[in-house]
Amino acid sequence: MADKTLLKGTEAMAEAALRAGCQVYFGYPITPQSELIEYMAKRMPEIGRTFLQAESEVAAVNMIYGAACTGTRVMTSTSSPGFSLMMEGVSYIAGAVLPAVFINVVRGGPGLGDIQPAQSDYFQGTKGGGHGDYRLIVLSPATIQEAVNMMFDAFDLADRYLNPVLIIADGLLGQMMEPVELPDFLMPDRMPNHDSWALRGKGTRKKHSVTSFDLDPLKLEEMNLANFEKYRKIQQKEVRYEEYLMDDAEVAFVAYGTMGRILKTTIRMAREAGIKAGMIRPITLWPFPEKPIQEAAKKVKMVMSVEMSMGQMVEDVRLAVSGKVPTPFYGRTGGVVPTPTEVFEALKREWEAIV
Amino acid sequence: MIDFKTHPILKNYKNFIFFGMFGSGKTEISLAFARALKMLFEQVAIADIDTVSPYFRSRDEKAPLEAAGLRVVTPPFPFLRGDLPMIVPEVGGFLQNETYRTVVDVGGDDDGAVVLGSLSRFTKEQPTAVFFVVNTKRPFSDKPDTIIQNMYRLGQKGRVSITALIHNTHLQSETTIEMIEQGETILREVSETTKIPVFATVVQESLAQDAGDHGFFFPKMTIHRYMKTPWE
Repeated sequence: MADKTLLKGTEAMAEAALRAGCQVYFGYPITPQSELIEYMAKRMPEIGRTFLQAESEVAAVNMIYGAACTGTRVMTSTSSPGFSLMMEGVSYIAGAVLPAVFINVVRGGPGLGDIQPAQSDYFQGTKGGGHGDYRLIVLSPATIQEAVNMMFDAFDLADRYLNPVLIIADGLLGQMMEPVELPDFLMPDRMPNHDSWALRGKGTRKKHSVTSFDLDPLKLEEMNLANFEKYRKIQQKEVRYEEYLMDDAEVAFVAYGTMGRILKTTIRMAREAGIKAGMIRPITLWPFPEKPIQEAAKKVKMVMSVEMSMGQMVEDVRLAVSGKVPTPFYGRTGGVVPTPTEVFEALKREWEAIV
Repeated sequence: MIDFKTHPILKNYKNFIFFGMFGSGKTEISLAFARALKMLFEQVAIADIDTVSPYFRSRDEKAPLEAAGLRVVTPPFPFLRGDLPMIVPEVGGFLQNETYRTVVDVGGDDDGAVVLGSLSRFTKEQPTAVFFVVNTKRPFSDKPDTIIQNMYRLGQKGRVSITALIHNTHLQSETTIEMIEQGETILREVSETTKIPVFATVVQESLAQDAGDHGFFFPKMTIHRYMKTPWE
């Protein structure tokens, strides 16, 4: 086993991205993830990769668009307002069917908000954010080790489906430290081959073209239909989630990211008090793990979504449950992190209302 | 084992500065020192001049520290969680004021050290102990050469000469005695090369119980971990 190192979430994701083969990074600093870009600035030149601080997030995302056209593993990291600025480019990249990886270390919003942890960018990540019919593959880690492994997964998914992948981490995960085991650097032969479409100089081969537009509405519709065929495959094959103590559960919590860790403590409290609670923790926020939640709704008396937001994922939870059982919500927002005890109190109130 | 009640270091200096690489454990050690000083002296202040980390700073412990009678020097409330590198002028005052024992928790890496450097006028005025904190399980801190380079570079930027090193090798709950001993070997080399002494090997409370009477090469300093995640 490799030696473990004590890493901050942002540093761990940065190093993991390099080991996963990220060749190029463009970005613009913003709290609470500036250490990620700083780490890249320090480390990438050391190992012969390309780092560039752009003049803004708008510039960074368009640089990513350009690099992605060459089939190179490219990424950026930002936090909420920064990701909002990138939305136009994200839509172009998704429309042009290109691989790229984004990290949003979410902070309190809306607007400038604050620099504390939040999960209020769920809608932005999973429902669009930019214009047009498109989907991002959205992943969310709960531990720093999971975030490290997820960086590899993110680049693989982006390359396999030629689709932008977004990792949503709340500020807490970005800023805390945990012991981590870093996988080895990916060998070049594990890198995808994008020779069939990438723009790297025409030479004598047939012309390649990468674009997100077509003036003929029928052809543009065809492009969209092809994308949606791809999204259907992703929904079939790439759903990831963790089930925790669901076997005998009477209450199913649904929570993602570090909220999922807080809930494990709440679940222990609940079980000590005689409420059999369990949890489904979505790891892919899109594709959303509807099926396990549908299945759970057949067995449990209540499905409760807990978020660091005013209630965003709860809409997907309610769609999955389809009214079969009550689906209450509990959340704190603006950068306030719910404690295990306050969630337990909320659970008791909801539970007493139905039993 | 270090007994703060009798250890000369607390009596010989007025100011205690903790700096080092990012994530080396400066805040936890600053909190431990401040609480130890409070056992001996009536007036103790802790100044948070960390402009690097957005969370897990001394200011997050402001309420319990104030309840324990310590003066916590931070930006005023509306700016406590501002995204600005803000140092209040009071910090200089507390470094000068002879009636106060003052602990300074510096931000990590070069950016943190530069802030310390801006206070050199005050740090040179009074007897000031400067500690460089090292966790060999952190990036850029696992080899004697790199530690020495970082230490001198940060010392220059902080415009301080280092009184002693503090050895803080740990991997949170996964720390082992063997791991700490490997860290000591690295720090011994650093200390022999630079002639800067090692003040202590830090052992977290939870491990200290398991370690019992286990003898470390450097004096053992047991600390309680204050900075916790919401699920701990």
